[in-house]
Amino acid sequence: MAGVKECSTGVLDSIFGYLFASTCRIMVTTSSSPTLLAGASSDQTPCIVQSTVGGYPTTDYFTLGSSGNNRYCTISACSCDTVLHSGMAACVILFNVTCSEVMYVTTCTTQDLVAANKCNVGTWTITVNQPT
Amino acid sequence: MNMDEKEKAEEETKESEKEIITYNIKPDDITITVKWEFGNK
Repeated sequence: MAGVKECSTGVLDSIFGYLFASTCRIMVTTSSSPTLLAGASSDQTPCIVQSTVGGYPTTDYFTLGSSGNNRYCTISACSCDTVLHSGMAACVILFNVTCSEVMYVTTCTTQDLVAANKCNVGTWTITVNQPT
Repeated sequence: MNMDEKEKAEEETKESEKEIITYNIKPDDITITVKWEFGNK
């Protein structure tokens, strides 16, 4: 009989603990593979929207939840930030304001944004599954 | 007001009247999967 692989929700939540201990912001960027904050917001790949919503201790910005034995974190929506530079939105990044670390990168439906308009960034989730 | 000033004033009026568009960006959800190996290798 095969053994069961499993870990506690506390272990899975510890991944989000790192996120909660950081002051974060959301950035929409034209870069398709932003690994460094400098690259995501350079002249070549301009940051087009940067939220002013802070992370922890704004605890309601992140919400933990469960799906079966998996855990997820919902990142709240950011409403109506100003588009700083025109460009094609390709990625959304969650970065640490203090040390400029790009913590999470996700894709979004590409959309052409024009500077000086407004942009809402909807909710999204980061799920940590049980081990396989 | 000369012609240049008049044109400039009209341009500024048009700019200020330009409607602000609100875009909606939906980030894709992401999933982290942990692969654990049990026992000695």
